[in-house]
Amino acid sequence: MQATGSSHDLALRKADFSTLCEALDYAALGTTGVNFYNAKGEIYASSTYTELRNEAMELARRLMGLGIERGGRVALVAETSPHFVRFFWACQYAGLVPVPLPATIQIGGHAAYVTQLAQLIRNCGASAAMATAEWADFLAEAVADMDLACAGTPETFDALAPVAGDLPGVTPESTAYIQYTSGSTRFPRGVVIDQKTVLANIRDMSANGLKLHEGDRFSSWLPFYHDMGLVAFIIMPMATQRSVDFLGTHDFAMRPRKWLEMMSANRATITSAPPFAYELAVMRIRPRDAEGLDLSALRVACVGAEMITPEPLERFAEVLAPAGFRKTAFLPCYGMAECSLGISFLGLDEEVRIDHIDSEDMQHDGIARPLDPAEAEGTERRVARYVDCGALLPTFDIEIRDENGRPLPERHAGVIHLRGPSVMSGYFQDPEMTREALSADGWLNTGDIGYLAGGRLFLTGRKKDMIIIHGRNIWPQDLEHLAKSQPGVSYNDVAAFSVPSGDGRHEEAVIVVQCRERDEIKRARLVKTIIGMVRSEFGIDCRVELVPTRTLPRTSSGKLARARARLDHMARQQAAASVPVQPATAQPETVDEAPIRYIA
Amino acid sequence: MSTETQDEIIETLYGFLERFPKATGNLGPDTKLADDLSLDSVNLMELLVEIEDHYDIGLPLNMMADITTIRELAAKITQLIEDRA
Repeated sequence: MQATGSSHDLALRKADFSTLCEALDYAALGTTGVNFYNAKGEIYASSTYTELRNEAMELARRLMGLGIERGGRVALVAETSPHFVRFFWACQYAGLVPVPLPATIQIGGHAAYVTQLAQLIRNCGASAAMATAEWADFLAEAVADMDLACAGTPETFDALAPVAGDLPGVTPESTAYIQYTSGSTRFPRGVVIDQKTVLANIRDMSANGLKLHEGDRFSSWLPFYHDMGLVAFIIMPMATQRSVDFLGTHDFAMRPRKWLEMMSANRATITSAPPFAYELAVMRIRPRDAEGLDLSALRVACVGAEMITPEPLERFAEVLAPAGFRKTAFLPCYGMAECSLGISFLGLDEEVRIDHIDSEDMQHDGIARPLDPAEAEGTERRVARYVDCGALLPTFDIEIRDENGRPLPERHAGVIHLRGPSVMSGYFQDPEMTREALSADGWLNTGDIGYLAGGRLFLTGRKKDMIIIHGRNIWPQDLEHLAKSQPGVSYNDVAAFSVPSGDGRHEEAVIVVQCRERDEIKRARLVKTIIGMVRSEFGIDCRVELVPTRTLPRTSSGKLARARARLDHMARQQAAASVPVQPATAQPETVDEAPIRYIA
Repeated sequence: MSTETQDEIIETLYGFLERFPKATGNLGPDTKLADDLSLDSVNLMELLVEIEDHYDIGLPLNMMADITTIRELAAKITQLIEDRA
């Protein structure tokens, strides 16, 4: 099988279409398309946009036969497969809204995954649901007691009778897709993005962020249920008539080298990944592997989705320099599903740039005062380093605001507010959450903390309370919910957050639990149970700290003060680490009264 | 082609697992991969690569949903080897 070519005679149009259907109609006039690679790095499926459009329109006619009202939702378990892409475009032609759902599972996580699927399918009110064979059993379980017009594998849908007549299609105001911003099962937030909205963002990204040109070729292993995987690698290549190569997320995670080989073989020019993925790739390749690779065509390697630390990027650039990788290809960027995707990009061919500032000033006053590391050496002043995430795309207005909503000047950190044509219309059927995020005059409160300097954006803190591990967003409420499900742990007893790990290069999740239990064995069991539950649901390791009751701080209105709980926890850790070890005989006799702490 | 019995597969798995920090010492057939060994998703991927390369089989991700112990993993590997044969 042959992959689709990188260039063709069709004139490059950078997403200047009014709907996604119109964009695919145009892309179908060329010879580029989508290509899928398996775990062995072999191509197993390839469609030109011409073929994809035909297949999507045919499937759209079958979907129409289901009698789902216009704008009805179709849930798609978003495994990296040609079926997902075909269904995604079929929904557009049929006037339906595709909703990508996570296709990821943990060891022993069967029940948790089924619950998650069911919750999301209910939340988006889906009328139909599709999963490929590997995921079909989980889907069948999830929808067992739901009354859907159709649920099953692609074959189930392909067996439906097609309806003749005109396809309903979409208008610029139609919803293009609903994107769940996290795997949260209890508090799902479905970002609603319209046709004109996602196209505005792609226009801006392709013209100003990536400066696309003829011959560009995309390459990705990012999951299709992730905003970057969906918008940057399914929608953008189509809306700009470029070819794209896909490797499964799981296949990447097992053998990151396959990603590099795929880019090398097809001379990919654009890819993207969270920092941890570049680190993983370097961990798993031997230096001599680089010699067989050719990454000289790769001009853009976006870095986003989690806080960026420069060291893993430096190592990646070093190890892959013999393969022709240029470190200027790294393109730190900032984006989020609520803005379709991209918000700011570093300039092309610029090197990753670090702002060195006074850490004390940032912590106390939120001011980013430049501090030369050489100058700070030997003094008590400490340097904090933040990565330049580049200039805002031109269609965005930005304001950095203080906690009272007042705009802040340059080099003052505050909450990032954005306005522009790429911003979502809201969270699906959640007016309260939408009102919290989106003002009447169109300003989106991102919840992220950052500052501007010389027109560049620097991120200093992420979305309020969000825990991000290995590029995945995890809501603290979800971790807290798991802990609260344990007997003896009540509603008010739990706080979850993330802290820098021991080596300072990663984040790790911490759950603080107020615990009345004194029996050490029972305490240890509680800790172990919570850690196990978190692992089977989220696939991450966490630490659990048991503390006495009334340890967790609350706001004046009685709500959990999570940020303060985090600082308190870090202070306890620091105190515990700096207390000199006392001989056993010197222990106070009232040891029972002392706060007992258990850290796993 | 490997002709290991299930017990031998379990022994081989111990060998793979001993590379992970929390897996030293107390490995048994009923050791739980996640709860007892604290394998996170990155560790799990490394383990799956070892198994795939050693036995020349493909391990679908969805399979892990119903596996908790080393014995269950070994049984699944045995089945995949038989399917391949």
